[in-house]
Amino acid sequence: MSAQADEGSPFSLLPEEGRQHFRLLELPPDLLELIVSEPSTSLHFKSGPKSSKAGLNSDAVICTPNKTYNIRQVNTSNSVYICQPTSHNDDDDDENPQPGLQAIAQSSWTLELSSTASPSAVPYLKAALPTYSSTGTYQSNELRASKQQIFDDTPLSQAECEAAWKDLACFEVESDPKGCFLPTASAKVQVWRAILESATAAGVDFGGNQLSLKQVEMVIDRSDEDWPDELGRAMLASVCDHEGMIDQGRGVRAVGLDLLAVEGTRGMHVSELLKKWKDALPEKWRAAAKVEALPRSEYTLSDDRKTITLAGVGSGVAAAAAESKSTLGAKRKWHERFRESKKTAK
Amino acid sequence: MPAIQLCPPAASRTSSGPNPLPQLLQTPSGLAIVEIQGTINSTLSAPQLGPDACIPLGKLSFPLYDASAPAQDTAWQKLVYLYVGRHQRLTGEVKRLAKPLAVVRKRETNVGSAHEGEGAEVMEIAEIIYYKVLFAHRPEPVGGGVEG
Repeated sequence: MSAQADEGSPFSLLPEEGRQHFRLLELPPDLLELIVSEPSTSLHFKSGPKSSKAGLNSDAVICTPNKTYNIRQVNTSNSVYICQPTSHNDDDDDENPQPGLQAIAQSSWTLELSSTASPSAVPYLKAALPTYSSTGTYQSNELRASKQQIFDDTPLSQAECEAAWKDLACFEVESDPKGCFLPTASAKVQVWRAILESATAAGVDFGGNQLSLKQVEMVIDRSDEDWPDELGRAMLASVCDHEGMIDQGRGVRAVGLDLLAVEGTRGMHVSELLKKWKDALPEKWRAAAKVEALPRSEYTLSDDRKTITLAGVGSGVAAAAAESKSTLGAKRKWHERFRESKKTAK
Repeated sequence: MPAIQLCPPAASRTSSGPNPLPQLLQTPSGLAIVEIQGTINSTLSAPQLGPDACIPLGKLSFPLYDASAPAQDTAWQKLVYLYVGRHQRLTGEVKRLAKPLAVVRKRETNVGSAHEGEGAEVMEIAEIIYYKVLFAHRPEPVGGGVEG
């Protein structure tokens, strides 16, 4: 084949100063499908607050309304040019501009996307929100960020943030003080007990089917409450399913975990937990109060399953680390004790 | 940190001029990707730049491409030439991307519209690219204008 250096379309490069800035982003099949078939779906680049806390990701992510993708930057040593058509004029032929291709940008890296393993916004909300305690004390909140501002600062999708907000019974107060708060476990237990007492007194049947949040809200007596309405509502919402119906499973789990968080950070007797747990539940829910009803990652059992302890920071990984850490300490102490006795033996 | 919106490709996007690429590589915005193993070094200084203030590289050609042939004929994709200057030629091929690439840029916002707050940054997908032209071989010398 003879060299046809004159054949083909002119190819040129814009000098670096004139180049545009593009990023190349790989699209996994589900995201591609979403963009092409539902272009009005909102997509956002998000990143979390800079933090060295375990479980908090400060890298950038891309979020659809309900899914989060981690972003990984992959470099290449190749020259990747982004080109567009252009009309070239041969030096002496202004009459017939030839269509050509021009490189207007160069990218030496591509962004790859991967799905997050088991995304939860819980650690981010716990790190970001000031607490409200059972004594009615609001932790100081200089930032006064709104719920949406807090979500914007969390590297997870809106749906994932909402789910964690609901699970934690977070609430937002308009004034005095203004802002978003995370109730402590004690506060939640206190509020729940009051709601239960009031609802039961009003004849609400928790064992019946299809009991809605609204139905309960309507009958409970608020006059003795020391806490904001928003917290009461958030507490009820935390035991509801996504349709606003009271869910026994969620309720049993939430009350058990909160009781464990209040009294079990250094371990408590399982029998003690079960007793308090049943006391804090509607009669028809009590049979479901069992250790097995709690998420496995939230607790550790010891002493022949007679003692239960709240997992470190509420995550299984931290619990395992805490466990091994305490064992190490025990070993060291044993050696020290042995050394001591050896000395005195002389 | 504020969330930065990423807008989908504008349905109304068009290319700025006639597209010299084969149909398969053409996109609504005209954007395309050409990848070269190695780097292009230009020894041209500013006064030597072409009339559009660009660096002319050479010619891109698809010698086996026939626009009138049926789409199932894909043999042409295996041979692409990039003539660099008058004395070198790179040989490459058209490759389908395993994962399509979104070409993302910052959207130009009107300075006047402060509706979304000062400088709310918005990114947009300028195009989704499904194929690229890849030159993975070293350049070979070609005779300059002697044959043909």
